[in-house]
Amino acid sequence: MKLPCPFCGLRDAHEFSYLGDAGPHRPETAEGFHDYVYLRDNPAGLLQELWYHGQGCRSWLVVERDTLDHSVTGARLARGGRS
Amino acid sequence: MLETAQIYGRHGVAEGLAGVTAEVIEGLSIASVAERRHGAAGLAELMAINYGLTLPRRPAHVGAGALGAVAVGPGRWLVLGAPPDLGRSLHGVASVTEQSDGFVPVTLSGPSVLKCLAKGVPLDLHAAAFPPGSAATTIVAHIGVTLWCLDATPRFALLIARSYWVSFMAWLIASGAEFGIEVVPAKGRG
Ligand SMILES: [Zn+2]
Repeated sequence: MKLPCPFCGLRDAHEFSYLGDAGPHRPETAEGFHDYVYLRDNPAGLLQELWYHGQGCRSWLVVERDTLDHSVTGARLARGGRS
Repeated sequence: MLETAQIYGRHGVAEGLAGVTAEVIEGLSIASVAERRHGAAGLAELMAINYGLTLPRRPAHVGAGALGAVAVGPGRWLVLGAPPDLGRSLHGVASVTEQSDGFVPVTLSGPSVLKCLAKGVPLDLHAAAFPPGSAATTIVAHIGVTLWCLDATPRFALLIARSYWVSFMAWLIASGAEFGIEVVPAKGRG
């Protein structure tokens, strides 16, 4: 699998580390932390997920990937904020 | 384990011209430059006015005389041949960190340099895909490397973290052995 880093270009997945779903918001208080940590969706289909390009430009990316066939349809720098 | 003293000299095929020549550069001053929030315009202007350097905003290397810069990430560069006053002159627009001891610069040339690099660099380095000035930060034999194409010979420059450079040279010497590889020390230039 390759990921299209917006800075570096198309790179092999082994340059990146995976964090998971980019959707959930980290709660401001302890309230809601259980749900944030444990209650995650596991969608079959398109997912926005966080990847870190540690062996490249050291940027966090939000990658759009289809969990059914691993096709990657987009990537942007996470530093731009949520879209 | 390869000893530092064993790195220099001719390795592998001993007859004929070396297929790969590696110059290990000593004494090059290197600084990392990271733009501050809202500092992008000021940084670009100061680098252009003070040093005649246009910092690339994509993975690329630019040079102006003894000075060079390679983009390693969004808003981050390594400046090569960095003048001692760089931090002061970029005050407020960028964070400047001395890195001269952090990296070992190596230049690679020779008729078999592309075949040699292809054994470890997971990128297409052919001139059509990676012409002079192109740069990349990637991984070679599990070791992080920032590299760029210096000219169409082709000749490449690499920066390897100093604590990994002996391991990197072990990979390079093993990979270049079939072509004959010559490793020599050289004096620093931007
Ligand atoms: Zn990247």
